[in-house]
Amino acid sequence: MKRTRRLHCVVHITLTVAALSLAGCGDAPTEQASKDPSANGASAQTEASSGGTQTAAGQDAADGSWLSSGARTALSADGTYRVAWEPIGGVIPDAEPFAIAIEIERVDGAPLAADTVVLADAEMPHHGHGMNLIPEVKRAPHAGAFVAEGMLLHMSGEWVVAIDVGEGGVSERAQWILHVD
Amino acid sequence: MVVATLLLDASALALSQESAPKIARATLPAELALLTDEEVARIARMSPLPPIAADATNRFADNVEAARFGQRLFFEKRFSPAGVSCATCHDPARAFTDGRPLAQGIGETRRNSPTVLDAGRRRWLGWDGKFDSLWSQALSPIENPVEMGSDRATVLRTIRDDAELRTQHEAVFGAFPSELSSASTDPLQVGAQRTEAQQKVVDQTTANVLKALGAYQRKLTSGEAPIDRAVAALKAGQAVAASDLDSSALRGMAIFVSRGGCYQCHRGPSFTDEEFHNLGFTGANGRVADDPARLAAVDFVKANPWNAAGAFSDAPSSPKGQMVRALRRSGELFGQFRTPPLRSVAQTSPYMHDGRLGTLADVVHFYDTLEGASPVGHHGEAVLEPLGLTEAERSDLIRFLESLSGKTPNPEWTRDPSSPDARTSPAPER
Repeated sequence: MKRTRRLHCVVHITLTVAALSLAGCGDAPTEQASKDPSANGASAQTEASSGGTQTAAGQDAADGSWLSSGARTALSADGTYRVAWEPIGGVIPDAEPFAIAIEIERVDGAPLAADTVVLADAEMPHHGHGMNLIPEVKRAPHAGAFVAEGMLLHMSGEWVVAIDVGEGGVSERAQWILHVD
Repeated sequence: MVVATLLLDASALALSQESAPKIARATLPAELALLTDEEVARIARMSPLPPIAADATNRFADNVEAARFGQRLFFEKRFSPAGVSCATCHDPARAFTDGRPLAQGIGETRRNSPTVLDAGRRRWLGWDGKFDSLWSQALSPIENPVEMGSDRATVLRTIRDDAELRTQHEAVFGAFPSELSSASTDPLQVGAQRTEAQQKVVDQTTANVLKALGAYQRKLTSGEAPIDRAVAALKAGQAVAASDLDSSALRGMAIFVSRGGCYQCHRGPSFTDEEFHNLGFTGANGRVADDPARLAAVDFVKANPWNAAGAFSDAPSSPKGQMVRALRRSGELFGQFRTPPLRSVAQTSPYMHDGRLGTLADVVHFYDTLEGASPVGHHGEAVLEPLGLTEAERSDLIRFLESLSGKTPNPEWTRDPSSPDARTSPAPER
């Protein structure tokens, strides 16, 4: 995750949105709009990682990555991976499907295996249910980059977003707590 | 859990920055003054109602001639041997419902007739979301024995043999298929044996007819409601007109977005999350739900050849098609029904999937007491809890719900175009 890759990655996100996004994901709001949920129908969200480092608002969490500075970042449960993600388009829309851009790197600096399996999901643990869609995760043409389509947080309340990374039959989870309103 | 709580506290600043309300606190009326910023932001998101989104799966969705043809079909009684039309259960005079607990076609169905108003905004159609588009939904009531009791061949034969209908059809879709016009052995006669090629033409022509019905129903939108004027006033820092939301309705609005918990599912300008929930209504056994509802519907919609990803869709790879393929099947879907939108709710009684609650007062009483619902499992958070509202608060909530109804913007789309009166009236505007 080198800073010098940033310009390249901005272009890549644009292409990914056009090619892969689900309904409601394609209209990338401006930076201003993305911070103003009531202006574009987006729900308010707060977040916390339950498994690793937390991204503070405005901090360049995914330093130099293809993600923006607001990306949510966490270590996986056993510390093997640093996982970051953000909604494509900048905000999680209110009760509408969206896609997320994911970036994964091994903490030891080794490249990810070619057959790495990545799953993205979310659930409301206190409600006893998850999303009504099964997200489809696709590799993006960038090292450690993936796109998960079909995320849908349809209720207000506390959600746990989980990204599982599997290599060699071993899977580790990074997760974040989001409050959606 | 402790860790989660601490981390959420740590991000409180980010929340407050993101949820800055578009409604200024300084100008809030007294009835809303005690709401939090988050709750005020919920009010800001209640309006305006955005335009209906495009439907890529129906290339005639916004074709006005298709909509006019669909309007004619919507009121057509000859499709059904019992004279049942779409308008039988979706009566314009009753906000496109029938006012009955359970829809009554040829026989009595198991579900309440939902309004068609704003149906073009729905992600899923039907109480269980069995259909993923307005146009594909229309085939089910036509061929259901207890609704219209017809079949696609009868519909096409009626169109083919009626000069006016055929002209309208051909104006949109081109010449009626010659394969369906053979004089020697009519492939559209009841009981006719059709070749595989003829059946394909029947199905494709039927899809066109359904898409005309879909185009028509997209025109049936609810108009500006008092809630829209009230939210606009709040955003402009102006006083809310009492003729839009009086003091009682404003208090009801406050309950709706705060301790009433209504907003959890009835959110946004349509007052729905477009998804599915189990309110705990018991079935005939009196103890637990017995209608599979969404669980069966997910299986159905994924397998339905008329779905957004299917051969009759005009965009099988569209986001909607992808969404159908991505639907999750799990046991928790059992007994879940679609969150009904609340626009026009005061005009669409009775309520719930089986019409078990007759009035808005009954609905508020249910959420206030949860009488008739089975208890939440001990592993789950009690999303629904008795509210313990006072009588005045219940009245306030009802008053607010009444503010969500607007007039249908263009009455020309609500009439039967074949009626004698309509023939002397101007055509629907574009």
